[in-house]
Amino acid sequence: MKRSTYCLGLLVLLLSLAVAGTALAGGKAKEGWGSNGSFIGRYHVKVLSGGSAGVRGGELTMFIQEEFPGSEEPAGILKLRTKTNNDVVYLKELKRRGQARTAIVKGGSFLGPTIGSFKGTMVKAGKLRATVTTRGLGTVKAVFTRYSKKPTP
Amino acid sequence: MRLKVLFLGLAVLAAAIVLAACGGGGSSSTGGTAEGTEAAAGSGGNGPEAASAPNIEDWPVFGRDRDNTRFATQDEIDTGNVGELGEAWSTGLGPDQYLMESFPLVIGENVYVTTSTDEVMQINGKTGHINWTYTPEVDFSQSTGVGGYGITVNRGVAAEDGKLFVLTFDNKLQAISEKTGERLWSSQVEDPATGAYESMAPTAYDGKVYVGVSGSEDGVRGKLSAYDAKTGKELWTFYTVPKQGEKWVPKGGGGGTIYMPPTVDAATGTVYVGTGNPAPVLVGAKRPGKNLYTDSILALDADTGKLKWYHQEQAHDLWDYDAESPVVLFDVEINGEKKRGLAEAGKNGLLFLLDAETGEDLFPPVPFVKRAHTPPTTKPTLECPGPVGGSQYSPLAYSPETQAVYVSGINLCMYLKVTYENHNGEKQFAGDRVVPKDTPKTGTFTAVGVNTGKVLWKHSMPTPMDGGATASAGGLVFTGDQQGVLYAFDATNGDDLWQADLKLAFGTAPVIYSIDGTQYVLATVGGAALTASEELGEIGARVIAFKLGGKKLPTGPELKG
Repeated sequence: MKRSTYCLGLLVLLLSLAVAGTALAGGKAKEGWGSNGSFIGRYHVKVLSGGSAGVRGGELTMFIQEEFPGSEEPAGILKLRTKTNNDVVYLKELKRRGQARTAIVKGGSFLGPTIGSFKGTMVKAGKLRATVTTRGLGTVKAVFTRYSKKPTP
Repeated sequence: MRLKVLFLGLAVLAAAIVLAACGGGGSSSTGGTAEGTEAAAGSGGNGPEAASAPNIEDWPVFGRDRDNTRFATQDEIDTGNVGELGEAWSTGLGPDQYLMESFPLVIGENVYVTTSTDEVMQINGKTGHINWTYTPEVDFSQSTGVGGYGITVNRGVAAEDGKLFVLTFDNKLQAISEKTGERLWSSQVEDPATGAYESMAPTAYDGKVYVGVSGSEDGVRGKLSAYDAKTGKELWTFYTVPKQGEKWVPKGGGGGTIYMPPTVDAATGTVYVGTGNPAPVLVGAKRPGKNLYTDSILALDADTGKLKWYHQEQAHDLWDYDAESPVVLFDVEINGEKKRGLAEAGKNGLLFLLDAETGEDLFPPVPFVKRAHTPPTTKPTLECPGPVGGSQYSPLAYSPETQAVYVSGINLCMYLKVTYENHNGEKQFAGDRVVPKDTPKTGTFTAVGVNTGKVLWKHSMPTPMDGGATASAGGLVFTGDQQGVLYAFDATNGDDLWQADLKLAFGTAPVIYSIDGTQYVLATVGGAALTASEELGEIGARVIAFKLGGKKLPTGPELKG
């Protein structure tokens, strides 16, 4: 990666993280995305703006992650498809304030490096309009529409 | 509505009241279901002049040759000139690619590599140009176990008769054209509802494609199957453990899954493969006995799948000590007797050197990392190796010139603790694993003589070693660490002859090929899921080729030992 591209990407990432961080400012954000019924399940992804990598579509799975009994925590697996790549990133540290829904985006695995942010609005239960920003993909805008309340096949 | 999730594939460290003392020693048998064992036909002589590896320029199968030796016969790059090795080209594999456990193939001028999200790429071996990318539709969220957690890796393709064979995370075996990347057929190899997922490279041989499934930690029932390479039709299946509720397998249990490609001995028609842990992981009380055939090396008839023999490396496993790394075959002379030998490095930190004909030990198992483990209890106990091993999936290299195998080791002890909780009205085993604070995560790289069972030399490495090893007729052995440093050691004495700091963690071993008389060393870098994901510095999966006279890269640290 050329230095200029790298720096630009880094700048975009830092700005997006800053935006995500301030999105919930002005009030105390609550943990999670609300009741399970409002967000757990599988979503189609309709891309409004494909970002620098040209995201064309994807799928989001929201579920309750369980490390061991009693440790339930909401999380997400987001696949974004470009012309030649399946990119898979992971949503952690879900927060909400009003209709706002945010998460950090991890690369590689749920314990991988933080590589970006998810910032959105829950239009209604099972429907989100959000911006996903990562260094590799740039800024992707999309509508997430739930088609199944089951995260499993 | 929950998905059970295993952090790093290990975090559900449910442990048991331990009923059995489970030493590191294994057990083997050629009796029981084993029959039809044929005499192993050694493929040649022994000693320095007896290199049986094919004299080719490509790297056409996982371990370069059918014995899976990862020994390249090229000698243009040797101990005398390796210092001149430098970067020839470097190619990124796409945005937001962070893990790289793909072991490439090289056929003609083309490199075939997979990404952690199951793309297959044909890359020009001279220039690094991506000629085409095959991007399958993959459901990355369908597994309820480790898959739901989301570790997605792909360890490479197999090739035969103009086809490439790839396994996708969502349990599909697909054949694509080696020339164009066009999909030819796709077969579902496991029901996604079982929690199974795929991470391994398949093995293709003589019209069959050999495939296992991953997911022991979540109770997936292990199996090895053979598929028709022309049609994708299943030919046979050998299950490594009984069904749930039968024999030792409790409800919700299972295991014995497979993470790396089998090794085929064409001379004897035998498929060798290693199996993973029993499930529930670390829960021994509900699964009495040895838990066959988990944590075992299996020898199966390549045509029928019938068991010839097994050698269990860890009976009644309580620590997640898979026999995960792929099997290496070799010819050896011990006390004047010629033998067909087999090597496998276990997650329990022992190198096993076996008679490939019978599964019996050629020598006592050879420890290559710190080993000090006791059955987990309700009080935290420090277990060495921790649940990541030992040696993970990391392939060995074998040099017929040195009569040595080269072993990648992980020194990462962990506190394991058993807890009990009421869950949905049932008493369940649970547990935790904790990496001790301020404890360095380190590794080892060890050469062991296959004709003596003795350690020839050993390096303490600054990081866990996940990637594996590659040897060459230039007297070299290559390996990479998790700081992204590629090393070239003198295969005979371990001298640290050359380093290049690639900045991206190694989760694979290099391959070696030649085009138009130029020898290349090719590294695929980007990290290994189980030990690197928390610590990735620079991110991004890349393929980097080296040749003599290429661009110099910075060196890494001075090694101890």
